[in-house]
Amino acid sequence: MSADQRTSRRGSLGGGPKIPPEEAALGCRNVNKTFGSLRAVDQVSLGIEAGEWVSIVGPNGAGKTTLLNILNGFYSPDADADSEVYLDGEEVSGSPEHYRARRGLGRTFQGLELFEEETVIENVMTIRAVKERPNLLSALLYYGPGRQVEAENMRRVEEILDYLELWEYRHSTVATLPLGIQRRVDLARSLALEPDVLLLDESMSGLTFDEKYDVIRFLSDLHEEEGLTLVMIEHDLEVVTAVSDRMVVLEKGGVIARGPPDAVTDDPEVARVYTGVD
Amino acid sequence: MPCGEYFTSYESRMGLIPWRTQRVALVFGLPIPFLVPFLVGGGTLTLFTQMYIFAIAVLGLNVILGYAGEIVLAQGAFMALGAYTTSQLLGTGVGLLPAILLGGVVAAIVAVGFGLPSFRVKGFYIAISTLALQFITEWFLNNGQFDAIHGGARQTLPSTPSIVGPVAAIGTDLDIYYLALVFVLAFAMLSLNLSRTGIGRMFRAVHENDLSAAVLGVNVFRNKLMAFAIGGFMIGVSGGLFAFNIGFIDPQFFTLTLTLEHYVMLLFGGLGRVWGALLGVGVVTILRDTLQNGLQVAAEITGTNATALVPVFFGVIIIVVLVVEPKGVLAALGKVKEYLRKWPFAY
Amino acid sequence: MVDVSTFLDITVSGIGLGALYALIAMGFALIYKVTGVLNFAQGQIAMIGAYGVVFLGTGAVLSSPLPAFGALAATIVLGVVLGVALERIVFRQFIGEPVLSVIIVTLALGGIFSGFIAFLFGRNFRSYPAELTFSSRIDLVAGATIQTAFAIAVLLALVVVSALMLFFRYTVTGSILRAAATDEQAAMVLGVSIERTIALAWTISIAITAIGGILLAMSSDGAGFSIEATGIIIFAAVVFGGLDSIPGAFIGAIVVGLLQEYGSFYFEGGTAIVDVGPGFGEILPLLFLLVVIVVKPYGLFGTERIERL
Ligand SMILES: Nc1ncnc2c1ncn2[C@@H]1O[C@H](COP(=O)(O)OP(=O)(O)O)[C@@H](O)[C@H]1O
Ligand SMILES: [Mg+2]
Repeated sequence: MSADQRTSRRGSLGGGPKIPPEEAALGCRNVNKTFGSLRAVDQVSLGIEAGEWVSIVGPNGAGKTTLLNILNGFYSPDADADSEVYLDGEEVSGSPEHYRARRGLGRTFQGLELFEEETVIENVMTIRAVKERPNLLSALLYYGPGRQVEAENMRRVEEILDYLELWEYRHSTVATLPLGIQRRVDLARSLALEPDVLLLDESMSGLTFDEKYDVIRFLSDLHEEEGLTLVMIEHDLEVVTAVSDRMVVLEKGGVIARGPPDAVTDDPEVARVYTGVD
Repeated sequence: MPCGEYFTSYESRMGLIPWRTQRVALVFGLPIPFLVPFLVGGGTLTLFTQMYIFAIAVLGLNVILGYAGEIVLAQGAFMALGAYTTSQLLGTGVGLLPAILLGGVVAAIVAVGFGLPSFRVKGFYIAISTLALQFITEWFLNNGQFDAIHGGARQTLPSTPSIVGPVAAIGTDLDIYYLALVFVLAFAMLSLNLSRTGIGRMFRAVHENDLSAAVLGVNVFRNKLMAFAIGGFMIGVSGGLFAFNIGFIDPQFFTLTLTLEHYVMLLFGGLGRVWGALLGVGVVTILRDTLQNGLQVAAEITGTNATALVPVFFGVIIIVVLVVEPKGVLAALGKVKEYLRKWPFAY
Repeated sequence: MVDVSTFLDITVSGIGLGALYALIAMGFALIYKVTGVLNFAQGQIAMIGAYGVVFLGTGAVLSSPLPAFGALAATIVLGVVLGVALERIVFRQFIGEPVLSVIIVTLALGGIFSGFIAFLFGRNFRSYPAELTFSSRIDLVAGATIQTAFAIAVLLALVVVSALMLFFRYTVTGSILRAAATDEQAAMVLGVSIERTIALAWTISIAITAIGGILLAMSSDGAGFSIEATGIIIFAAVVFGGLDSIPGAFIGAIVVGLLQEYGSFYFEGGTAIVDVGPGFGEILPLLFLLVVIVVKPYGLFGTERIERL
């Protein structure tokens, strides 16, 4: 489909990003991603303000995950001259994913992607080590600073596990745990990075009502108390409208609507996508 | 947590041996290798020395394959690099320790060089490039054109070199035994430390899920290279010790068979487990020796080539271990222990 | 100095040798394409073919050997049986296991095979029955000649590559396999029919690999342990070709055969322009392999798989 065709179908809430990407906590301008002949992400621009809670919605295959992958550098967008990605005011278009993570961009995964053969505590400790780790020599010898860093990391990780109510599972191998717990481990792993912006890819899919409620509780606390910026892909519109400050609707790779949840859900174009297609 | 024992501080509970029983076992167990020379005869002592030397190479493999999950098929080549470097340097009079350590450094450098393609490719490609390294190294060592570099395919090492510079000659079987013992203990300790700190964890993350690890901040490429460097160093050192222990080097000692043997040892004990690697080396060495002796006898009686069957047994052990318990014997023992501990109730 | 007619001769034998390698390389690529197994035992399987003929057709082990061509046919049948057996007994256990385990299993199999062969024959060269060695060469145009074993290999390799390409392109099973290769889920759903084709793939793979080994032995009048090294040389071919591409493996193998022949003529011994030492012919393909891995790891026809999260 060509760009102008979609523009014509674009709802009243189309428009550009709320704030310019280069001033945003996380932003991108005109990013595209093509797989073979499929345009999975099409000219998307975002500007997410620090402290915002933004939800990305859209039918399966709309390009939501691909967009997150571009934001944290797992995919580089198609080589267009004007496409850019910004993290906290810095252009990171050319930086590898591990750099962006260290700059404060956390992420959970639709498919969990845990270190399955390790225990819960090891999973979280691993990513904690990204944040804070001994140098090779002091690690090999396990003397003074090496030891202190590990002890301090352990203390911090136990706090996180305690906070996410994972304490009783801490020594279980991840692969043996139920999905709800695994999703929480995934979240714990990201929190160990102490991110400023957290990307959540369907962190509640497959969870029971109670489990969802718990996750929302954790996220709301982090959002309110620590000012964590959240970008969340979520299918449950009820959840989305309840928690998010803004939402962005993707369809076939392009943004078809964005704005406050109430306004967006009332948009006829969004309704069409949700009732007609999905 | 066994009843009645409680941790007191973060540091003590993160120790290698958090439980009292383990500490007691260590206190009684550790002196044993130091007493071995007083208990056994010369032949057995040499067998132990050889075990320790192989254990170092297998610990090196454990860092690269067990922790970081990269398949390297160049154990023979890395050991040869260590061995030939050591032999050449001994001639210059720097002393045994510097020669062996530099041998390790040379192996580490080559290992890192062969880790560089992992910037773009993984798994299989690293396996075949290191396999190519194995063949190229064998060709290089056998090739008289390069005598000026490697000093000749077959070399005899000085039998009583000094340890460092001109200081203190070393050379009796007992000396070598203690030298190898010190090295293996040191490397085992370093491996355990690596495994319980952030760096070892990142290695394992690279192994288990390199994609999510990268997105969560792990520099995958750097960690792989680090694993190659550390592991390569250990394997190179093992090669130097091996050369010095035998007193003679020949490219035939450093073939693909050696790689296969080390794989058996590591897989038997369990990938990524230091104690497993040590156990694997012990058991497989004894098994191989018994087997070789048995086959030797069989060969003489039947007039066949029975000793050639050793790799067949290695191959069978690998496959059986991978089918029955891919995590190795130690993990299997752990399961049995867990079962017995819980029996008859699960709690 | 480079002399045109010698160069032509060397090129012809390079192509011949390459065609031989092509059989073994296609055996590898076929299995990788269909089952995802990276078989590190190709060299040893080729060696089984080569020594199979010695076993059945000469007095080396058996007291009353089969006639030469009977031994040849029986060895190929043996290859087929081995293919089925390996799939049933070993590889079926490892479906869905990590690549690392499967690679190690094939390495272990390689050790088992070469150990057995060394047990039966020693690591020595064993001559083939006279009927299977060709002293005559076949004349080609412009005064060039080709060894008979190479000529057979060229014809056979062409037949195999065409047959496999047609199979994947035009048959139902072929398209199922293509789908299965890209989508494990689809393979699961398709279930039963897949299983049979996987067995078929192993059969074909091991049979053509064994034939490659036999022809390799014929080209030097007998079986030798050096055939084992083919296992690594063909990696240069398949990586250059793109790993899971049958025509890629074919082309890659020809390139590797040429490199080896040029290497051993122009860089080794009395005929060398620059003498790098004995055995360089077999090292050149390995250096080529390293270069390909660094410069163009997905080869001629391979595509980089885009990972997903
Ligand atoms: N690595 C890839 N290779 C090829 N196609 C892909 C890849 N990743 C995603 N796609 C395709 O891009 C489209 C968008 O996928 P995705 O971003 O996962 O959608 P969503 O997360 O919105 O469900 C889909 O059609 C998907 O098949
Ligand atoms: Mg998705």
